[in-house]
Amino acid sequence: MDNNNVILDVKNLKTYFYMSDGVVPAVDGVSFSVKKGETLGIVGESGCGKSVTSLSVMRLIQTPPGKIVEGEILYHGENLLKFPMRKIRQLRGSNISMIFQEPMTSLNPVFQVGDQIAESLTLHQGLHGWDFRTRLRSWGLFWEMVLMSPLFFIPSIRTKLQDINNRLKRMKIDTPAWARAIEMLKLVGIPDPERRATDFPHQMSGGMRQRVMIAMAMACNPEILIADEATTALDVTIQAQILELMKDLRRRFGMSILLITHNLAVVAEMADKIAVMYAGKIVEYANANDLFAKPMHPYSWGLLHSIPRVDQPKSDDKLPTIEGMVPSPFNLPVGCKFHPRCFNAGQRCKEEEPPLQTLENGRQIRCWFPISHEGGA
Amino acid sequence: MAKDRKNRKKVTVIDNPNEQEILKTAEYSMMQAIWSRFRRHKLAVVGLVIFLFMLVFSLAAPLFEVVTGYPKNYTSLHIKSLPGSIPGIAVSITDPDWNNTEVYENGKEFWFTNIDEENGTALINMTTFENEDYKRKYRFTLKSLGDVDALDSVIETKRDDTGAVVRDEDGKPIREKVGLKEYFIGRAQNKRHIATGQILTYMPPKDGIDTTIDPSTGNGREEYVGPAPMHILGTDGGGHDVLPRLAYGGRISLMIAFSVTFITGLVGIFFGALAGFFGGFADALLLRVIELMGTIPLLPIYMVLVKVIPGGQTPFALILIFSVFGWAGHARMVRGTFFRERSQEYCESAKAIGAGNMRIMFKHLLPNAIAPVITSMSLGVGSIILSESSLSFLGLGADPLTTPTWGALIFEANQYFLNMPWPGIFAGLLIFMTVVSFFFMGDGLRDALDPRQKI
Repeated sequence: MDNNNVILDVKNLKTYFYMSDGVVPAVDGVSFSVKKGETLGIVGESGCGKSVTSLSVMRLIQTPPGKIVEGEILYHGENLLKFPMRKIRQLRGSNISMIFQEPMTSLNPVFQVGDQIAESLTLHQGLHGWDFRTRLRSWGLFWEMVLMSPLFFIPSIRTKLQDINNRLKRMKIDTPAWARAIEMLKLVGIPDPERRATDFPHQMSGGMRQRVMIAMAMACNPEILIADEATTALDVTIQAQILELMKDLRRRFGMSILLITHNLAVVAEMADKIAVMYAGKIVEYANANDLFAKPMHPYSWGLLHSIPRVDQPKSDDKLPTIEGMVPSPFNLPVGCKFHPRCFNAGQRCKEEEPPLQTLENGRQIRCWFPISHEGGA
Repeated sequence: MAKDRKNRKKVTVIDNPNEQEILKTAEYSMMQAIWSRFRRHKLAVVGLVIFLFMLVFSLAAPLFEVVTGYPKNYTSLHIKSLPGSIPGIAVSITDPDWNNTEVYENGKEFWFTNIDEENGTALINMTTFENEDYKRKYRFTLKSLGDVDALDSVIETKRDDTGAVVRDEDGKPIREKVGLKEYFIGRAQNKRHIATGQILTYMPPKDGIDTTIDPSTGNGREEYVGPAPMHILGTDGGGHDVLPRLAYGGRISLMIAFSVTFITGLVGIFFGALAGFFGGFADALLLRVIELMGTIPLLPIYMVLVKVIPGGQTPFALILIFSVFGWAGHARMVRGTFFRERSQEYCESAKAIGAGNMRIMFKHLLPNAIAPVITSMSLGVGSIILSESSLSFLGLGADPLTTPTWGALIFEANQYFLNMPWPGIFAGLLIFMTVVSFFFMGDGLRDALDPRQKI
């Protein structure tokens, strides 16, 4: 694991939230590593700490309540937790990017989408966009428009006004950052990107906005893309398109993806490795193929078998579910955190927490009684 | 390229008539969206129209001055009542060398000294401000000399139609009590005095306080004329047309209100943004300061400060004083909105592309948080006009002689309101309309500036 290809190496990460009711161990000793060009899927139920893990990697945890209490996040061997904020800000967006869950609200409603993509280029690559300097150059044109605008009802002046408006728009589009932003919009498959770049977020559909988010995250060619439930809010066809797009971009630019989702179909499609999280801990960490073929942890097994499948013969049995509820973070069970819901739990599970054991093929599992697949599941 | 896009648009329009509508909405700019949302509030549009009217009215002040031929200010000559002299309510002065009009320019001072009540004459020393050496004695005829025992009446020497003093059997002039209104109307109608070029004062003098007179340059002033074709809003106690004075007053009142709103808005946004964004200690500190300011009764403190600060009764000092105490409300509002907005996803995503705190605060959050502040600022404009007016009404605002604000005009008009109500009424009406217009606009602005509202 310790070869040069490893870009991100998270070791024993613990992120706790200090609430008035007590301490919530949202992420409690998570370790994983991502190689260049690799996709790691982190799956789990709501509240299992997936998102907090990704936010911790970005150092976006809100501190008063939250705090990274322990662990290391090694980016090319350097610990991000020891970086000053200024350096972290340089990394964000240019080396490590993030796509957020809600395309509807993650874009700033008062800026044109082109501006928002251009901003990260301005911040990290020094390309200048529609900033004060370039605006100053259009000053004369602008005032011409302002002074003429009261006479808009005269047809010839109206055409002239439209012409000036187009020229102003053109000037904006031609700034280096905007040109690159439009290129990005084209790359993520938005039709007529020049016109759409001047749209505001509310003028776009959900899928379009998610594409814009991806364009924003991809603008500086990051090494790691963190997709936090990036496709959850989209319908299935758009979801498929977005996943296809991400795969395509991964292939082209060789970036690593940290895919955070509760949708197993998405990880099956995308991920090379999968980490299954439960109550702030990784319970199973395996190659995607291994996990889908032979889930060893009862929780992974439960997750996989609670999805109805079209390729299996129809049966009258009920669809298996994982009984019970996610435990309250203030009141986690003693021993294995999953034992109250586990069909395989024994006495030992109630008393002692299982360690993360490493099996062959780099597979890790946190269970006293893993499911054996020797007889075939 | 631009041409291409234009052509393509044309084609789509022909293909599908609905497309035009779609393109139209898609190309709505921010300003258009704001305007179309604002327009939905009928009252807000009414407010905007009233406000624009006020703006144009105030800016056109010099025009009114030219049209009516009446300047905004008293070109003041002060008649001082010195010890031993009798306070004169009004003087009509006949100068032997009346041709020499330049001495009646601005900046001269008068003293009554040798008063001969019997003959109705007095010796007046005139000194220029510019040059103490320049003293010249003039003999003036006093039209009337009298004690002012009440505001509503004047004791005047009785005269016959030719202007000669009527005397009793002992040869003493007969003095009679005249109602103030009749008195003034009588003056206004007395063209003879006007023709000879008189200097008149209309303000009932108080002890030791200057009475202001207007050295009309030969052309007569009609004082206390009600609204008439010649003077649409009538004339006031200085024989000045009310219209240009109101327009100039509007300039100063609106200037004070806008400056204060602008300054308090900036300060409030800055502190509120810091507190709301960072929370914790900064937030607690700001809240304590705001609470502290909330405990101060504003009107008394304004009254004290206006008197304590040197030059406190000038517009700029008023702006300063109002600004110091006015930002708390805006700051609290900005703090609240920032508190809400900072947990929005777009803020997180701005952080994720590596934007710094200041950039997030003032570039990303502020445009989203500006709507409630603009609303409270537009309400603030109204309340500052009111504060300024109430200060002026108490005689603590700007000096009505040199800076006629609306409040000051009311203060001035208040002294003779019962008999001559129009200057006060019109000034009050303007204040009322302006304040109401801002209240009306507040609602519309709130909806118009909210970026999440549909078009």
